[in-house]
This record gives sequence, C-alpha cells and structure tokens, in this order.
Amino acid sequence: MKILTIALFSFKELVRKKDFYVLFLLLAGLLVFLFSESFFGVSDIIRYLKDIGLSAVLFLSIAIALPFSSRQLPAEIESKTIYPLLSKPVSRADVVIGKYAGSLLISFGAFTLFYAVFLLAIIMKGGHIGVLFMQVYLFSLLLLAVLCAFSLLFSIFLTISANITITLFLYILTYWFSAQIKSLLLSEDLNKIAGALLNGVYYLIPHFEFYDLRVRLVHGWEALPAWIVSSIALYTVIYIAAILFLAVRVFKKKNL
Amino acid sequence: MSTILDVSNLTVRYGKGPDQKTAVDNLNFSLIRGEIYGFLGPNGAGKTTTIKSLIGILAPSSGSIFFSGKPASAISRTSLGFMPETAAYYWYLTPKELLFFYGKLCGIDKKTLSDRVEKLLDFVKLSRHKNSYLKTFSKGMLQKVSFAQALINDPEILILDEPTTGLDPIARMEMRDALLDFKHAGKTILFSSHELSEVEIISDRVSIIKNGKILREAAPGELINDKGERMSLEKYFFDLVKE
Repeated sequence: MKILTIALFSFKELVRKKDFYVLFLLLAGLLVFLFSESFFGVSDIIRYLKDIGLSAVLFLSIAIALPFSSRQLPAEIESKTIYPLLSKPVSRADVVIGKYAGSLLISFGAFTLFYAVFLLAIIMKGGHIGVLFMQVYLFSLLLLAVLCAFSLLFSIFLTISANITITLFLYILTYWFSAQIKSLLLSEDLNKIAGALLNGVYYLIPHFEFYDLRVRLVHGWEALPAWIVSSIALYTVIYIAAILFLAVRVFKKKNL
Repeated sequence: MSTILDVSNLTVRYGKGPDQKTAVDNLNFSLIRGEIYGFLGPNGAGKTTTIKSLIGILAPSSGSIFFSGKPASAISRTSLGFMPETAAYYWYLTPKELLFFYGKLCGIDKKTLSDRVEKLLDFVKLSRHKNSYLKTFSKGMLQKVSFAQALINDPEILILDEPTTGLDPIARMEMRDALLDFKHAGKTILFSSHELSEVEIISDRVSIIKNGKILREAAPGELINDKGERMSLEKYFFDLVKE
C-alpha cells in the first residue's frame, strides 16, 4: 500500500510536467511527417515507418524514463522531503521500491501512449497489427524496466547527469558488445582463464539486445515462440530483482 | 506526569578510523508528556543529528531511544510527527494532495483522513489555498504546510527542526500560537531553534547542547548564574556556549 502510494504520487509529476506533452507533440509531428503521402517518394513506406516510428517511440520513452528515475531519490534528499517521508512509518526499502514503481508507471504510461499513436499510424497506413506488435510492446516495457532499475541504483551515488550518461553508455555498450563477447566465447583460440572471465562478464552484463525486435518487425517475420518470450521475461524479472536488492542495500547505508 | 520519550546514552559517530567524528556524545534526556522542550545549541552542536536519530533516519552508534516505553521503530513512528527545517515540498501537488499523500503513508482510513486534512488546513489557515499548487506558495505558507504534514497522523509527540527559520514576525507568531495550541491539546513538543527569545516564551524546559553533549537542562525561569542571579535565556546561552 505504501509502495503504491509513493508510486502513484510520483506519477502525478509526469502528468503535471510540460516535458511529457512536448515529447508527445514531437512524436505526433514526426509520425505525421513520416505519413505524408509524398515522403521522399519511397514505396513500401510502412517498413520505414515501422523502423523509424518504433525507434522514435523508444527514444522518447527513454528520454522520459531516464531523467525521471534518476531524479527520484536525489530530489527527495535535496529538497529534504526524505525526512518527513522517513519519519512516517515508511522504511528506506519502501522508498526505493515505491520510487521504482513510480518510475515504471511513468515510463510505461508514456510508452503506452506513444506506442498507441504509433499503432494508429500503422493501421491508418493499412498495416496489420499482429502478435509481434504485442511482443514488441512487452519487450519495450521490459527494456524500460531494466533501464529504470539501473538508473535508480546509480542515482543513490551519482549526480543526475552522470547517472543518465552512464546508464545510456551501459545500454549502448552492452547492446553492441554482447554479440562480440558471445562470438569470442565460441572461438576456440581462447585460453581457460580468459574464457571463464568472459563467461562471467557475459552473464553479469544486462542483455539489452534481447529486447530489440525491430528487424523482425520491419521485415514482417514471425512472432517469437512463447517459451522464448517467457524466458526473457523471467530473466528480466530476476535481473531487476537483483538490481533493486542492491539499491535497497546501498540506500539503507546512505548517510542522509 | 509520565515520560513519553526517553533517550539514554545516545552516541552518534560519523566516519571511520582517524577521520571519525563524534556528533552526539552520550546524550541523556527525557520528555514529559504534554511539555514543550527547547533544544538549543550553536551550529554543529549535534541538534539535527540527535533529531535524525529520534525520527529513525540515523541509526545511533550506541544508546537507546524509547517512545512511551517502547524501543524506537517504525511502529512507534505512527505516533510521531516531524517537521524538517525548510523542506521544499513537491511543487506539483496542492497542500490537500500533499496531506493525503502523507496520511495514506500513515495508514489512515479515507474518511478520517478526509476530515483531518480539512481540519488541519483550517488550523494552519490554508483552507483558501488548498487547491493551489505548492510552487505558488511563499516560504511562510510552505512552513505551515510542513507543520500540517507533521500533524497528519495526530501524533503524540511532535519534533520540529528550526520551525521558524526564515519566517516573518507574523508567521513566526502564528507558528508559536500553533505550537501552544498543540501543547494545550495534551501533546508533547521537542523543537530546536536559534530564536532564543521564542524558545524562552514557549518552552517548559530547555537543554543547551554543545559538541554533542548537554551542558545544561532547566526550565527557562530556573537559569541562574554563579552569583545566583536569574538570567535571560539569551544571556545564559551565550555565556555557556562561549566557555
């Protein structure tokens, strides 16, 4: 109940801030531009629309999610509202989990709205909305959930700008290097120690590439089998639980 | 007269090794139900650290804190209200929403909370502004909101850290009256302040703390110098902390 209360009141901030509406208008404008009949005279525009449209939806959602989740705890400390909050029957773990839930509500809410506009655009252009679109939606939420968890953890000991930079850096770096690490692991000319070390790194880093279904969507491939979707969802839940556990531990020791 | 708060051998240390600093050093004091207790000291004396320990934000290095005979914990915090020194409350909320937020965290049911929020807004004279955003509030109005949030759970004991800092004389007087009203309702108040004249007017007892230790604890009227002359709190305080 306390966690939900903290989360719901955090959500109010999104509703009452101008940032969200500006980004929403930006996305709407971009989609209208992409949808114009004479868009560079390109045939099969729907494929480009899917690619650019989905990238824009994700980018804008991350642009809302990261600053928001990275600001949650530092803002409480800086404004000293953390003191009345913790003087109530609320534990530090409640605050961390509540703030995380608030970040999820905000990023999920923003993404859902942006995605709905994106789907509407696809439908208006004669596209077919199949199961894969649902999987893209789910995986995008999972991606945002992992990013928010990292950002919340980093916010306990980093400044807001450093936090956003490092979280984005982590996202881009692990996204691109996961495949390289995997191919290195499969190569035979790797000694045992280096292999074990790389293996450890591979299992420790987040695998953001799991959540990227853009190629599949653009080319109209089949949806993923249910067992893969469930496995990735389970992996995400376990990964997030580990990050939040760490965040609670660090925040409990933080000198306020 | 029963004791509502009992602090025994409270010690708080910061840092480790040679850099370790003792902010609160073996502090002992207790509050009697229904009194106003002024907590005085120069900057860095250990007042805020002690208050943070009382409200459960800072774990003491040693010693104990008991509320109504029970160890300080999340459960005893249901009967405690805290007002921090100049907090910048969530700008995107109205005072009504803010009080609902804190009330829900205290587990107060909807009907009781609804009534209490209206009464509190009336008590701090903010009913007219209950639906305005906090970002439009003056410092004095924000202090009133802060005071109201401290009372949302109808606490038995109220702890205030510099409640009149930055307030104009009228707002200060209103705050003083509110504290006295609270006391007359049978509640207990501990507050830290640099406004010595105010502390002298409303406190039943004061303690003067320096370097984490209580130098003197007495009723303002009982402060006398070496020659047996009664002294004002201000004069007594300056003489004591200068030593």
